[in-house]
Formats: sequence, C-alpha cells, structure tokens
Amino acid sequence: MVESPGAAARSPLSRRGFLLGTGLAVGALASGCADASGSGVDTFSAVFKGSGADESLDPGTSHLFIDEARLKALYDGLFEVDDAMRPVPRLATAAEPNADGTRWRITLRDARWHDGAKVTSADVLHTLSRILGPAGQQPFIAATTLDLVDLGQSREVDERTAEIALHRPSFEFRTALAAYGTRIIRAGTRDFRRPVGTGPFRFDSFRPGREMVATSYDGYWDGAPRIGRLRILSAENDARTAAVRSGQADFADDLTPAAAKQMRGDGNLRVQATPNSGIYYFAMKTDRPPFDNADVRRALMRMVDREELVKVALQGDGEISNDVFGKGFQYYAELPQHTFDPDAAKALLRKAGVPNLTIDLFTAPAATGFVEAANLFAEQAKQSGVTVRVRVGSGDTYYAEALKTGQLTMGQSGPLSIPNHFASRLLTGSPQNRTNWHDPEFDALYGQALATASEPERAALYHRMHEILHDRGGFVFWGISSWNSAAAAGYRGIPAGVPNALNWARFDKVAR
Amino acid sequence: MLTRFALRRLVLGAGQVLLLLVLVFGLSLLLPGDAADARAGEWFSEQQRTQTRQLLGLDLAPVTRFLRWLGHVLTGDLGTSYAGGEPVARVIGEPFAVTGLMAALTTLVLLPVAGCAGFAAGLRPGSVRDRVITTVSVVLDSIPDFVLSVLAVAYLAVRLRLFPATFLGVDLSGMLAEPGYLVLPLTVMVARVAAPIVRLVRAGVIDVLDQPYIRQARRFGVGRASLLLRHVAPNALGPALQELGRTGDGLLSGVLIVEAVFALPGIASTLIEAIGDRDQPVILAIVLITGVVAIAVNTLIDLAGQRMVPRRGRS
Repeated sequence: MVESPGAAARSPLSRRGFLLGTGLAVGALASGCADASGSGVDTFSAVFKGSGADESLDPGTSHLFIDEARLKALYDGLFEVDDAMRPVPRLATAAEPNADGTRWRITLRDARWHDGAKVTSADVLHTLSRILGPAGQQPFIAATTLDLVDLGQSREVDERTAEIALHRPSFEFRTALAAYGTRIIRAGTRDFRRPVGTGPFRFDSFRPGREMVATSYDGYWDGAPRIGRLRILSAENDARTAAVRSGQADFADDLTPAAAKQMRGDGNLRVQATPNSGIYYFAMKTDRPPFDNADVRRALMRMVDREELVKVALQGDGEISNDVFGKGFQYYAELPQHTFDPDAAKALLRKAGVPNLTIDLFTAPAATGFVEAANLFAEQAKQSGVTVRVRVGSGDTYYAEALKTGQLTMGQSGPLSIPNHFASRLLTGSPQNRTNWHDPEFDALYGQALATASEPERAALYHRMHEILHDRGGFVFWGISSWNSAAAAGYRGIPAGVPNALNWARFDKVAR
Repeated sequence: MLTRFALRRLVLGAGQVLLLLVLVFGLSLLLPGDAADARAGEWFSEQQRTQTRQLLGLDLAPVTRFLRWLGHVLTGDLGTSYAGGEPVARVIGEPFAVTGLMAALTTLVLLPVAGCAGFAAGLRPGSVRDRVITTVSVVLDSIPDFVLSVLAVAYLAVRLRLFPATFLGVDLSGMLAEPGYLVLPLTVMVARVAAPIVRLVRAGVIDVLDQPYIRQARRFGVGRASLLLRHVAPNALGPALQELGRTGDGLLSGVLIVEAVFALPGIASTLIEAIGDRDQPVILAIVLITGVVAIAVNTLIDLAGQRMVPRRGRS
C-alpha cells in the first residue's frame, strides 16, 4: 500500500552520505516496487489522533474521536446531530411521540446491511437491549443516556416500525438517540472484530492504534461514496502534520493552532477551521468549601480574564465564552457577558467572608493549553486578592481524578447537545457531575422540560436553567477553540462539521 | 572457564530480570490512577469505573495480581491487555519485530561505517582526514536526535519528498517490501550512536599502533594489511565492542524518539502507550523481554570481548 512518493532513487548523496552508504543503497531498491499496489482504486487516507491498543470498533463502547470516525464510516445511528446539535434523521425516517411523550414510534428507512440483509426494527431493539444489558469488558457509553427506555414495554410493530416505551416522559428522545454509543448494530451481533454495518463503507481490516481500511458500499442508502477506499490512520500530532504535508495522507484531523498556521501557506493543502468546537472550562466543586458559597462562585466568574486566556492558552485560535454551555447550538441562551472585574470579585469575596482566599487548582496536560491556562489564571486571580496554587497531575487519568478530587479543576468538552449536557453533567446523579451540582430547582426544571411537547416552551425552560448556571453555577466556560483540519487541495466535499456532529469526519461525500 | 562464566551470568541475569519486574510493577502502581481511570476518560460514571475495575481484576491486591501474572508467564502466557482486551502477545508481537529490525539494521550499518571511520581517523591522527571524521562525528553527536529527526522529516520528506515522512499504515511486511521507509530513521539512529564508537576505535587504533609489539612487528616486516587486520584490529576493537553493548541500551531510548517522530509502530511507543493506559500486563511483558534481551546481548558481548582480549583472572 503506497501513497507516498517513494522515489529514493532520485536522492543525491547528502552531507552525511558517507555514514549512510548502506542505508541509501537499501533505499534505492525502494523505488523499484513503489507502485506495486496500483490497483486503480482511489484510496483516501485520513489521519486522526491515535490511542494505541485502546482503539476499538465496538459501537457500544468506543468513545475516542478516532473510533467515532471509523464507526461513522461503518455504521449509522437512527439520528445524528447537525452542527447546532439538532437531531437529524438518518436510519430512522421519523420518530413520533404519543401525547405525553412516553411512547415513541420509530420508522426505519429502507436500508440494507453490508451483507444485503434488510435493516429491521429487531435490529433497533437488539441495539437498545445490548446497551441496557450487562456490560462485557467495558461499560456501554450510552447506558445512562438511554436508561429511561423501558425495554419490557417496547416492541416491533412491523419490520420497519419500532415502538419504544419510556419509564418517564421525554420529548428529547430523538436527541438521546443521537448520542455517542447508540449506532445501530445487527440483531444477534456479539463480535465486532469484523463489523457488518449499514454505513457508507464496508469493513476490510483493522489494526488498533494503526489503521482501518474500508471499501465503498454501493448499496448505501444515502448514495454510494465517490472514493473507492477509505483508510483511517492513527497518529500523534507531529506525525499527522508530517503525513498530510508530505502527501502521505489526504486529510489530517485535529491540528494544533501552530501547525494549522504553518499549513495555511501551503498551496497543496486546504486548511479548515471549524469554530465552536472545543469548550474550555474551570469547574468548581459546589458541594465543598469555598465553592459551596454562591458568592465565591460568582467572584470566580469575574476573576477570569477570558481574552487573555484565549490569547495565551488557545494561542488566539478561538473566542471567549460566557459560562453558558453550547454557543451556536440549539437552546443556547444569550446572557450578559461576564467580564474580568477584580473589584467586583473582591466585593463578592468580602461578602462571603473570605477576602484572602487560597484555592487549589488541579490541572494536567490532558489537552492543549490546560497547564498554561492554569498558570495564567493564577496570575489573574492575584488581582482579586486570591492565591491560586496550581497542582499538575497526570494527563492520562486526569478526567477520572478530576471527577472526584479537588476544589477547582479544568476541562475541555467537545460539542454536545444542551439537553445532553444538562443530563450528563448537571443533574443529581449525572454520571459526569464534575461540579457536584445538586439543585432541586434545576432538576425539576429539567424534568419539566423533557415532559413539555412544545419546543418554544421547552426552550424557555432551558433558558431558565441557563440563567441559574450563569448566576451561580459551578462551571466557568472561558473559551471556545476552533477545530483545525487540513486536506489535499484536489478534493471536494471534505468534512467540515464540529466534532461529534454528522458532518465531522464524514467521508462518503468526498470526491476528487 | 567460559562455560562457568556464562552460567554465572545466566543465574545473575534471571535475578536481575525478576528484580526489574518487581521494581517496574511497583513504580507503575505509584502512577496516579489505574487502567479503569485511564480508560474512563470523561465518559464513565463512578459506578462504571468500579465495574470496569472488577472486570479487569484491578480490585485484587497488587501482590496477587503480580504473582498471578508471573505464574501465567512461567507457563508461556503473557496475559491480556487491560486497554483493548487483546492478548498481550498480539499487542507486542509486531512492535518487537519492528524495533528488532531497526536495531539489527542499525547495528549492521553502524559496525562497518563507524568501524571504518574510526580506523581511518586513528591511522593518521592529526591529518585532515582525521579532523574531518572527528568533527563530523562530534557535530552529529551534539545534535539531539529529535532535532535531527525533525529536520530530516521537514527537509528530506516534507519539502523534497525523497522519502516517506511517516510509517502511517505500514506494517512490517510493508517496510521490508519498500525499504525507502527505513532510510531516514536508520540514518538518525546510526548518527545517534556512531560517535562514541568512532572515537573509541580511533583511540584504540592510536593506542595499539604505539605499542612495542606493533613496532616490533613492523621491524619484522609484517605487511600493512596483515598488521592492521591481525594485530591492530582485534586489540583496538575490544573497547569499542564493549561500547556497542552499552549502545544496545542507548538504542532503545533512541528508538523512542525515532518512533515518535516517524510514527514507527515499534516497542518504545507501545510501551509509552501502555504506561499511559496503566496497562500493567503489557508494561511487564515489554520489560521482561527487553530485560532478557539486554542482559543476553551484554553477556554475549562480554564473552566476545573475553575471547578477543583474553585476560588472566576474573573479569
């Protein structure tokens, strides 16, 4: 498999020639077999951030970006989300609730599995029962998102219609069906080493941490892909950059701001920056001092110089945020921008009785700019008379540790629909409740919103929830970064959606 | 004499490897978090992490886990990776082959290149030839290998497109089918380890040439070729060979840089990933095998050194 220019024979002796005599002689042999694989199939190679042995092809348990890119090629969800995180029907043509939102009728598209069998409502029920059933070696990602499904009361109405019963009303069920880990698998499948999906590409081979190869599926319901073969490769930052710049890969995902800047001058490449992609935050544990006092939380929101943080920690590749999650997404609330105001912060801290506050900020090199942001914030906090002690932990296990330990932690979130953001992070009992936010009023509003059929009324309820968080919540969302990718200039239809959305890493519309 | 020496080294080596394994396992426990935490990312709930911990057997006492692992290893089973659930043998098999290939090729290129350079320099110390060779080897030695790697990628691969920039998607058979992939990483590896060997061979040659027995041999009219090959070379190469043993250790750390820059699917990057994943079965298996190989190579080199320059008494 050779996409690279293996033209070693042209190489003149370099300065170090005498040291590499043997190497060059060996290299010279290379050109002879450089085009051995010229099978005429147009292969598109895309490189994503790799994760080694951790990578997998199980639609129920995978949770890495690169896994998502692979699964998107092989499988479909009933729904996926667009760039505003609104559910878009995919394998489902529609999902209609009953009057109180406790039963949903899902109609399926006329689609076929890669082996030619029809997609049926039995496949949908199998997928749901697998996610809600006992976990194998890994828990199912969507287990909590879908725990409102009442499997016993759900049924196949006919081959293309499923009726899903819920334990409690939800008019956001379409969004839940678009969440991570909900792609539809074939009834009876247990082994995902050779996946059979409904997606635009059929599986050929997979080596975790290395590559997946898949071939165009002519019977794809949304139109056969224009490229013959898709390779999804794993690599670290520098190798992704080098691969796309040297022509070894046709697409590189998730580039650092510096790499993107450098590539903008390269005529062979097209660099795309997708705004609203990475949401950076500080998270206060609201159940313990000093952040169990709402005034201290309000003070922190005013101790942060967001412009400076974006400039330094995100290398200017982003914009400031306003402690309200999900700018640009459905149900986002435009509220007055919190500004850097040390005097107001000092007044709030005096009111809270802690004028000379000292706090620990637990951070780690878990994502670009974390440690830089932590140190910069420590400087900014001094102006409000607050001492911030920065503790740097391990990037490998940071998110798990930050969930339970510390007073003030950091994070970065990919795009997520606002109802799912509330459900997974901000309700009593939410699985990733990083701020330990337990607010009965907030919980009640969420339950009320889910049970509200009218979308404008639901939006009004979400707006009130945003106001609560904007006033006294535990999250300080300070910046939103862009997502940079680069592709060879000769291609059209290169994916350009925000991560997690339908149009991110979607290669079935790519063409030369 | 040689057999007893070898046997003693074998027993000593086994003890060293066991100690190494205990040490590495202990250190891996000191890292924050465990495999369940590493796997959880921001997706798992507390309950799901507890569940993962049980599924992986991480709720057992560390001593129990280590002894069980050791027991399995003695029966030839390297266990299962915590990260992806694959057998450890499958996770580390190809990476070891790749790194082994790199190390073997490096040595293959290194020996003639560094040996000849050192010899050429040592035969005429102070000459232009000597100064050129010495300068180049000192310069190469003082450029950090990641700088050399990055420069090689930036100019020879990205700008001039002479060689592939990375090993993305290439497996072992691909590398052998298209050796153009190996040129840049091999160059960096050789440049990294050549300098000390060049220096030692040069010093050895100068030293030996000055010995009375060489002067005597010259007076006897021994031919130049015969003098160099039969009298100078064995004595001058001894110290360099010992250095080669140490180079083996250096190769592993050098290979890490090269693997990272060229996205070479070798054992060093597999080890780094395993540490990130807190994947102790993989970490221990890698340490076990590299430990055994390192000790074996050093022992062999000591044996070869003893044969080349027999010394009386204990070594």
